[in-house]
Formats: sequence, structure tokens, C-alpha cells
Amino acid sequence: MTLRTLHVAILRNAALFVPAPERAEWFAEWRAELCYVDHGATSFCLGSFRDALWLRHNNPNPRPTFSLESPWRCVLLLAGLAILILLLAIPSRKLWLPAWSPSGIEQFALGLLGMYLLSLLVLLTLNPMGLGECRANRYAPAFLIRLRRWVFLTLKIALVVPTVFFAISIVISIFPPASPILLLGWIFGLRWALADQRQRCPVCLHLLSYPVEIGSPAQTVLGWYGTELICTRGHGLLYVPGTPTSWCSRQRWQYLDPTWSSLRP
Amino acid sequence: MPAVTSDAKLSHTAAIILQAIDAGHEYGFSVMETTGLPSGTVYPALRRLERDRLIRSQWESQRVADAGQRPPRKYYRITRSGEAMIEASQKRYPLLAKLFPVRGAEKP
Repeated sequence: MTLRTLHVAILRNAALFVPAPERAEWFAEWRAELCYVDHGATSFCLGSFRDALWLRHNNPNPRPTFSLESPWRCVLLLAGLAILILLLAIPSRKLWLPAWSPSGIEQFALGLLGMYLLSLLVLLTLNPMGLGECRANRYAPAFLIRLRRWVFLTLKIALVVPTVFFAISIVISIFPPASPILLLGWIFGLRWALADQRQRCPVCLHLLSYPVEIGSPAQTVLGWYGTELICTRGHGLLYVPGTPTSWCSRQRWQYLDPTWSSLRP
Repeated sequence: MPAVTSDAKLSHTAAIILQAIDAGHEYGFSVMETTGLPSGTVYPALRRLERDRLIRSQWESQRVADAGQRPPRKYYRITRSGEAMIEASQKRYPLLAKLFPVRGAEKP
């Protein structure tokens, strides 16, 4: 391999980081410039990585990525993950499938229920279970819309619990026995479901965005400091205290009146 | 097009590169040689300046490149906003004008 080939290979590798529509032109420019470099061509070519990464980070049309921002996407992802894990756990079903008798099924169900309640109990001691204050005002949505929030949370927990169970069945089949792992898995799963719920708008259930730090820890005694998040659809603002205090211990949601509708896309 | 005012912000490196282009070093490697900056600094700065419409790029015609028996190069030229920005940056960095005093020295 000649040095020239090596330099072109470096440029070709760097080109992989450049967004596809600009890649051909970008490579043509660097290759043309390389023709004029008579010394230090390797360091010249290595600099192309910085240029390529700059273009990637500043791409005005980034490729859409799968995010959990929408509640439907979140549920779909969890359902897909549950199905995938279930399919992977089928070969080790002898470990988790109960003996096909009334007493076997009863024992299995009681064991799962006990473990589930224990994980809730541990979570309660480790982490506040509340979803924050959501004081109703005259702009608060109807009861059915508020009910959706709880349905969504129930659905998430209903999908997280079996996903963790089957995932840990796979782990047990490799490193037996592991009932503490199941407990830990459920604690983390439930904690994620609650944390995700706290970061969502109670009206449209989309993830909140544009977090803004307000104030500083020095203001704890005389005022409020923390993070403010906003629903991009204009439903409200969420205030998360930086340090929980006696007058502001939990995050607080504020519904916005229609004058804020200009925020909606 | 972004408005350019006298208090517009431009990093020292970007100001040097802009000044080098204005002095006639109109392609990336020439800017590198003149300024002594590495390729990993010059090219991203050129993208940024072009995005901010302070410079514009243009490919050399294939005919000219063939005559010189070399691949066509991409040339960068200063826009009106860029000229205003150079004036503003010279107020901010007074020694800049002394670095590249000759305008249009290497125009192709």
C-alpha cells in the first residue's frame, strides 16, 4: 500500500461521518486539496475527521431518530422489547414456567406478587413515589384526559414488569440462581416508569423539553431554585425544585391559559 | 442573511481565516499554509463561515482544472456580510490587518 492510497483511505473513512447528501462534494474537496500537500499529508488527512464530525454535528437536516418523546412510541417500544425478550426467553421456559397444576400456578403467582410488592416497598423507601403536584385550575383538562395519564403509567408498568421478568429468566438460565436480581430489576423498572412519567406533560403525555436552570443553590433559604421545563404543545410548565424544601418538596405542574397558545407549533 | 454590526462576535481564529481569504488565499490549503493553522481547524471554520454567509464557495470549472492537469478546487470568496465583518473584526483585533496586508495577492 502506498502512502497515497493510505491517505485516500483515511479520507474515505472520515467521509463516512459526513451526512450522505454532502459526502461526495466533501470528499472531492479534500481529495483535490490533498493533491497540493507535499509534506505532512497524514496529519492533513487526519484533520478531515474533525471537519467531518463538525458537519455531522451541524447537519441542518438530521436523520429522524426513534425517541420516546411521544407516548405511543414509548408504549410501542416497550411492547416490542417485551415481545423480543419473551421470544429470547422461550428456550429457558423450564426455569420460569410453573408446573401445570393448580397448586403450582398458585405458588408461582403468589411468588411473583410477593416479589412485586417487595420491590414496591423497597422503591418506596429509596425514592418518592409521587408524580408531583398537579393543581387543577380553570384551565385544567377534563377528567378523562387526566385519566389517560394513569392509564399510560399502568400500561408502562404492565409492560416493564414482564420484560424485566423474562430478561432475568434469561440471566438465571446462564447464572443461576438469581432471585435478588429479579427484585433489583423490578425496582429499576418501576423507578424508570415513575421517572419517565414525571417528565411528561399530564395533558398530551409527550416528554417535556427545553429545561432551563433558574436560580442557584444559594437561593434555597430565601427563594426557589430549580429547573423549569415546558410542554412544546403549550399545555404548561413544570417546576422541579433543585433541593426539596419544606415549602417546595415536590415538582409542580402549572397549566397554561390560552394566551400561551402561540407556543404551540 | 444575518445582520452584521460593528459589535458582531467572531473568534480570533475565524477572523484570521476570514482575513486570509480576503487577502487572496481562496482555498483551504492556501489558508492553512498562510495562517499556519491545522486542517482540522481551517476546514470546519470555513464551513462555519459559509453557513453564516460570510463567505461563499464555488467550484473551479473542469476546463480550467484540466488545463492545469489537476482536480478542480473549491474556492472561497468573501460576501458583502463578510466584508462588513472584516471591518468589524479589524476594530476588535487591530493587528489582524497587518498580518495579511495585501489584498488579492493570489487571485487565480
